[in-house]
Amino acid sequence: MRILLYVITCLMLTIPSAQAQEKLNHHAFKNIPITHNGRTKPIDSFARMTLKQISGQEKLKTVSALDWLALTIFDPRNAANMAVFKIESKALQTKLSIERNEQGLYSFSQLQKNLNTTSADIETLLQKEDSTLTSDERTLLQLHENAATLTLLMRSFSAILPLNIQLPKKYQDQLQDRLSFTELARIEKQLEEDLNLILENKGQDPSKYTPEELSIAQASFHIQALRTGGTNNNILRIIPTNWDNTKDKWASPWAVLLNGEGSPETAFLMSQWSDLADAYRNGDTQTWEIVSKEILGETLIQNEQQIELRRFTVERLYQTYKPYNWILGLYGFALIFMSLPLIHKRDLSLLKTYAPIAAIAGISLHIISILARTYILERPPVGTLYESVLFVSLICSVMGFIINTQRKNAIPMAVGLLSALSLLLIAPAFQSGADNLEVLIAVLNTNFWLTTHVLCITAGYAVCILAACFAHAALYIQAFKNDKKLWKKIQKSTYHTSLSALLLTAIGTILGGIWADQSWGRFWGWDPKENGALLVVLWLIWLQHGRITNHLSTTTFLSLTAALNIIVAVSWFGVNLLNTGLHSYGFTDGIVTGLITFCTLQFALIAWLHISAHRKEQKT
Amino acid sequence: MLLLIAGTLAQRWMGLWPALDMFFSGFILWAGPIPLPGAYILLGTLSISLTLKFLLKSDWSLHKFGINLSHLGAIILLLGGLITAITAKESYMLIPEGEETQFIYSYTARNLVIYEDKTQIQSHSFENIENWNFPDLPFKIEPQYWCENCEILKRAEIPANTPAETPEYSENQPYQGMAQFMAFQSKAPDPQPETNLTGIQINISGSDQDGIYIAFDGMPKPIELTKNNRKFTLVFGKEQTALPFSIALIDFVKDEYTGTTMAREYSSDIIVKDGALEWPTRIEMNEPLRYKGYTFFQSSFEQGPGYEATILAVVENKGWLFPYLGTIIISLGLISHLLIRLYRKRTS
Repeated sequence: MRILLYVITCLMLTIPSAQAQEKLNHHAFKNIPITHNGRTKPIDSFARMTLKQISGQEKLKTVSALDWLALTIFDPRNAANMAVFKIESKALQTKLSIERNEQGLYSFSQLQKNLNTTSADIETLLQKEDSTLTSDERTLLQLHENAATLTLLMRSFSAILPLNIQLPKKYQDQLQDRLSFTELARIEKQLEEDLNLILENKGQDPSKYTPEELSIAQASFHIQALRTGGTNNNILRIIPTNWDNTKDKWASPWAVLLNGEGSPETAFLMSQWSDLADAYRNGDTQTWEIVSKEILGETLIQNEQQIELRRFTVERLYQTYKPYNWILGLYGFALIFMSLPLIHKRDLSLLKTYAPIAAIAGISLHIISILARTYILERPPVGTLYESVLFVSLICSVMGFIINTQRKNAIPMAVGLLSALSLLLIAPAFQSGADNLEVLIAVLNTNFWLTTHVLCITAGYAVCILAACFAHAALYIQAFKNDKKLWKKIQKSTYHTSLSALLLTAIGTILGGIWADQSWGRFWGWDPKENGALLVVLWLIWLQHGRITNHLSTTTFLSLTAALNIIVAVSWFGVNLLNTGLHSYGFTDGIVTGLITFCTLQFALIAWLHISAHRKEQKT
Repeated sequence: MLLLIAGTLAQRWMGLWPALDMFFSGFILWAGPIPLPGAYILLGTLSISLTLKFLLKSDWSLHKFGINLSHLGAIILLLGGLITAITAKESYMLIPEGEETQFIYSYTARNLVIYEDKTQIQSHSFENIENWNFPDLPFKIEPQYWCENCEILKRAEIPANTPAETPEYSENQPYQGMAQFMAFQSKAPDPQPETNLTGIQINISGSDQDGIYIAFDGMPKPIELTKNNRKFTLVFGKEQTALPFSIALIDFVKDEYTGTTMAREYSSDIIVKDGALEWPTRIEMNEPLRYKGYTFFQSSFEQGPGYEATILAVVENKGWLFPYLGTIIISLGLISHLLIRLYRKRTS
C-alpha cells in the first residue's frame, strides 16, 4: 500500500484556482487511452473505476466521473474541496472528528488534517497481518489508500499546470511560455546558483532578504517541492513511450519528465496536454474539444501497439449501461409473468407470451454482455471467481430455456431463471475491487485451458445447480402435489441433468489435471480446488451408481441430488476460503457467513422435503 | 469423500505437505488411536473392485459401450495414479543466466556430502542423522545439535545452556569457521518444507583443524579439512542429483503487465546439451520441456542487481501419459453413452 505525506499545501498555494467550468464536450476526451491495472483502456473507464474506489459510486450527484477526473487533474485546488470520500463507519467519523452529513461524502480539505493525525496508526496497521485487521481498521487503511490515490491524481499534472509565483524580471525574460514546473526547470540551475550566493551572503533567515531574493528562494523551494511530489507518480500512464520496442510501455507525465523517458514525440504530446489543461482552466470549451481530439489522434499514432477504438467503445457501453442490472430486471420480469398464473388462473396468456419474451431478451443480453467482456479483455470469458458466477448464471438460464422448449413445461425455465437471478444477485460480492475487468496472472493467462477446462467445469457447476433445483421441485411435487405426471417429468429432467453434470464435471476436472500437469508438473496435487471439483464428481458418480444398482430409492436419489447445491457451493466458493494451495487466486473474503447460512438453510429445506416426500410415499 | 473433505480442511491448519502426507499418501490414517483406511487402501480397493467388475461383470452389449469405455478410462487413470505414486520424483534446478548445470535439487531431502579432493566419497541423509556413521574417514564427525528449521543467531548473543551452546565446548575444541560467529536455535518447521533452513552443528576430531563446525542450507563456504595431506570438503544442504545431460540458461524473461508488478508471462530460453547433441529451446508457463523421462517446468526465478536465474521444477514421472489416455477414453465413453441413449430414445 502506498503511504504518503499529505503535503499538498504547496500545490494549493502555487497552482491557482481555475475558472468555473461550463459543460465540456467529452466526445474525444473519454476515449483517450490510459494504461491502468495492466490494461490499456479508455480514460472514461479509469475515471469511473477510480471514482468508485474513492466514493463508492461511479457518478457524483451532478458530476460525471470524467468531469471529476478533469477537475482533479487540471484544477487540484478546487478538487480538494469536492466531497468525494465515502465514510460510512460512525467510529471512523468520530475518530476523524468529522461532522456527519447526509451523503456520507467528505472532501480532501475536510479530511486532510485529521488524516495526518492517524498516520501513526497506519504504520502500525501495515505491520499487522491482513486477517487480523478489524473492519474499522480496514476502512481506515482503505481511506488512506484512497487519499493517496487522490493526491497522486491531483499532482499528476502539476508539472505543466500554471504556477502562481512571482519571478524576478531577469528570469521572466528567459521564459518561453507561461510559468510552470517545466519552464522553471529550464532556469533551475541559474536559480540554484543565485540561491547559493544569497545563502552565502545572508544566511538562512528570510527576514534579511530583499523582495527579489525572497522570490528566488521561494521559486527554488517550489521547484523542489513539486519535484518531490511528482517522483514516482505513475498513476496517469497516458504517454506512449516507444523507444523500447520490446514492450508496450506507457508513462505518466511526471515519469516522462523525471525518468528521461521522453522523446520529441512525447514532448509534443505533453505540450498538447498542457494546452488541454489551459483550455480547461480558462473554460474554453471550443479549444478543449479540438485539443482533446488532437491528443487522442496523436496518442493513437504514437503508440505502436494497435489500439482498436471499437474495443474502447464496447468497454464504455459496458461500463455505462451496466447490462447486468438490465438482465436482472428481465429475468425478474420473466419470473413474475410466469408466477402470475399461479395467483390469477385466468392470466395464462401472459405466461405464453410475455414470460418467454422477457426470458429471451434477458438471455440474449446476458450472452452479449459476456461476449463483450471477452472482446474487451481479449481472453476467454471466465478467469476470475466473479466471471465464473456470471457464466454459470448464463448456463443456468440457457439450459432452463432449452429444457423448457423440449419438455413443453414451464418449471425448467422458472428453475433456470431463478438460479440465474440468484447468482447474478450475489455476483457483486465476488468482485475483487472497483475494477471488474481484470487481467490474469501468468499461470492463468492461457487461452486454451481457460476455454476448455474452465468453461467445462463452470458449465458443469451450472448443470449441477439445475439438477439440484429440479430435484427440489420433484421432491416438493412428490410431497405436496398429486400430479404424478408432472413429478415423472421433473424427476426425469433431474436424472438427465445430473448425468450431463457428471459428463461436464468429470471431463472438466480431468482437463484441469492435465493443465496442472502442463504447468506444475503433476496431474493431481490434492489442492483444495481440485479436491472440491473431485468431490462434486464423486458425489455424482455415487448418485448415478446408487440409482442404477437400486441402492438409493428415488426419494433418496432426489434428496442427494438436491444436496448438490451444497456440494457445489462448498467446492466452488468454500475452498477459496481456505486460502491455501495453488488455486488461491480465487481467494474470497467475508463470504463465510453467507456460505454457512446458505448451506444450513439448504440442508434444513432438503431434510424437510425429504421427510415429507418419504411420508407421502409410505402413505401411498 | 470424507477423507477428501478432511484432507482438504486439514491443509488450512497443517500446511499443504504435512496434510498431503497424512491424508493422501498413506495406507492407514490414524484418527487418534483409531486406525482408519488411508488413501492408498481406499484407492487400491476401488481400483481392484473396478477392474474385477469391468472384467467379470460388465454387460458387453452395444448400449453399454459408453459405460464400459468410461470404466476402462477410470481404470487407466487409477493405474496412472499408482505408477505416479511409485515413480514420481519432484526436484528443482536453478540456473543463473549464462551458466550451465546438470544438477537437480530435492525440495525436501537434505544430506551431508563428503568430497575428497573433488570426488564425492560419502553421502549421508539428514533424516538419518541420529545414526550417522563415517567409516573410512581419517577423522571423527559427531553431530551435536540440529534443527529442521533453524534460526541463525549471533554466537555471542546465545545465552549459556541453550541447546545451541553445547556443553562439549572447550578451549581444546574451539568453534571453527562460521560457528565462531553463528549459532542455531530451532523453530517450528514451516508448512512448506522447501522454505525451512535446515542446519547441523558437528564436532570434528582427529583432523588438522579440529573443532565445532556448523553447516546449513545454502551456506556459501563449505567446511574444508585436511589430514595427512589429504583434502576433504563437507557440504551440507538440499540433496542433489546429477542428470545425464545438462542445461544452459541463455535468457530468463519476466514479462509484466504494463505499469504493474503482475506477471503476464515467464519464460526461459535454454540450450539442452546431451553429449555431442545440443539444441536451443524455450520453457514457458504451461509449455514444459520433456526429455529423457524428465519434465522441466517454469516454476520460479531469482533476481538481483545484474543477476537473474531461472528455477525449473523437474519431475520424473513414468505415469505422465496415463491421465491423457484416461481422459480421452472417459470423455469418449461418457459422450458415446449420452449419444447411444439419445439414439435409442429417438428410435423407440
